[in-house]
Amino acid sequence: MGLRCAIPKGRPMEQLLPYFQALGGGRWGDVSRRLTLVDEDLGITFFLAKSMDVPTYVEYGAADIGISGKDVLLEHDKYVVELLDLGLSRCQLVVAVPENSSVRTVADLHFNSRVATKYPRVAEEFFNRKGIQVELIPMNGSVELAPLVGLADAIVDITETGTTLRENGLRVVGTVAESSLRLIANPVSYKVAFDEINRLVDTMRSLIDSGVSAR
Amino acid sequence: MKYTVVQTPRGAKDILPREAYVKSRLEQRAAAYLESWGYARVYTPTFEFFDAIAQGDGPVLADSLYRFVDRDGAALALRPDMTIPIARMVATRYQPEDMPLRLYYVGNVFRYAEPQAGRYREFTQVGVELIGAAGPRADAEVVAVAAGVLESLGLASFRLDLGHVGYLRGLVEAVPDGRVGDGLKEALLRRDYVRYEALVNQCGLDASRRQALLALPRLRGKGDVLEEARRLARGSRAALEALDNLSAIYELVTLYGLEERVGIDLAMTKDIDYYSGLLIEGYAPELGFTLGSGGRYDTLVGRFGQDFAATGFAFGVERAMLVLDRLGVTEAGPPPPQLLLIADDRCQAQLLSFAAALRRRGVLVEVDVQGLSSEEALAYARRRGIAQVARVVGEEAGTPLVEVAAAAAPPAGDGAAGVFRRVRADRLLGA
Repeated sequence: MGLRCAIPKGRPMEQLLPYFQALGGGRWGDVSRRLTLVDEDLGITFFLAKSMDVPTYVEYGAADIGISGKDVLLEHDKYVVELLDLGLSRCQLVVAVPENSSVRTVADLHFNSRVATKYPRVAEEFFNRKGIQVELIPMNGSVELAPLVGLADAIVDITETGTTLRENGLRVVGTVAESSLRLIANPVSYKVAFDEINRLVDTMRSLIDSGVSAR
Repeated sequence: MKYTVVQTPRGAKDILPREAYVKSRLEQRAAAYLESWGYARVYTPTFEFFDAIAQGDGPVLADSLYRFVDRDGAALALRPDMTIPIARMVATRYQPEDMPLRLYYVGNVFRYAEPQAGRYREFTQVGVELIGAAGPRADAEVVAVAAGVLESLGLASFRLDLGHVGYLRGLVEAVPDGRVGDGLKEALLRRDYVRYEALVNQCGLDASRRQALLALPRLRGKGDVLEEARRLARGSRAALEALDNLSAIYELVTLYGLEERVGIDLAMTKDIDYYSGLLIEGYAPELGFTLGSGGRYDTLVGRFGQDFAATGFAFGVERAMLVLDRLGVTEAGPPPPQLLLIADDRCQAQLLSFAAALRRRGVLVEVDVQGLSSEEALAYARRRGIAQVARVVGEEAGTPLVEVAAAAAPPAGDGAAGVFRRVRADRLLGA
């Protein structure tokens, strides 16, 4: 029985491509537009999914393995096995405020502060751990906009280089978590296809260590 | 209408006849199987004092308890599993001379968890507890009972993994910083091997001990894994003792002929804190989550005042049903009645006594209570899958006069549907 692997669409897929090209030995051609791809030699069927949904596919066992950002795993707290840090799509979940805000550190936020985020669960846990009470505003996208239009005093969002934040006149005041792409597995699939999945983990690990993307 | 009037709460559901039939048959079959090993059924209250549950549970399941207050102000909780109430029951109602006890249960348990991926907030567990017997033989029996009961239900593909609380505990003991040790356990419990590896690499142990910890997630397979584990754990007496215990159990399990079904997984950890030795986890490839779990819990009964060693296993009935469904071997729903009886007002007495006579002979009979006409009765019977309609039209010398029609044309084409023919009542009774 072959493995089913859920791959996130979009930016993460672009970063993963060279690795998959290496994994597939160049057999696959242009994969970026295909929804599913079966590789007989590897015994894996790959399919593309929205990155937020990858852990769900894996948790239910609709995919045996998948690739997901740690940020998504933290937010959704799915019951999956986290096997390998691919070190790709590295980014940080940060707290940011408008350039002209009087807030200098996270501790300056208070119970009247409104914080917009796509990561309400991670944000809530972060502020609770710090003992800071804020009002969280869950959002679905374009979080940078919230402070500009006066919806929120701060945001919790991901940033790779900080460019988008700076362009929107936002300044980082604290780090919530680090994220990168992870290879995950369904707990039962991991038991059932233990050797197969471990082989894949080892192959991916050596591809990552040898820095395929540099080629 | 208001949402809260017509909906069931999240994570709870109604079970309609088709599913209820499958569920209760499964529970009956499991019960019969467990009784064949000498296990006796017990019931415990659905709710307990909160203190009793907390005593058994430690902090782990506490978040997921349904708590409430009774009219006297006492804090109560719905049982989150059956093992804690049974431990309380055994400690307070049995004496050492009653041991060993073999108990089983079929009961609903309640956990306030986010309902997803096969998790409901109310679900049914079937399980066994073997109490008052320490040692590998008792553990091996529980493993064999677990395998046997799942097999008896037709779950052709299931597997059981065996682990041991003591192995990880032994390896982690050596970690100088207790918080790092807890972090390691937490990472394993969440199966976050990325974090686990990072923590091991900074835990301050020497290379060979780090090696033993790093190898842990891959210590999974058959008996040879135990050898590998022994080599890796040379430095830890506690870990080696755990392996001795697990090896002894595994050897006995092979005597039951279960090598194919049973494997070793030393990375297994549980979110319930009363386990003290063997750990069991049941799973099936058709299901993305575990089917059941168990293990040894020698200190739990003692928390209620009397020390007894104990070991057990439980599986989720709904999850077993899901696997059977995926395997395509789910039973059909309840069989429809064989016969629908109708009669007009004049013949109600004959109808009722005839129906009773049929039931005594094991015929499944439904009696019309709506005053259906013959045509309506035939249509209703077809809809319900009832093969025949019998019209009671009178009585002759104490025997009811009956006319029978097939609701639908028989596939063999023998006779038309819907045509009533006089039949001798004793022929129907003989059927």
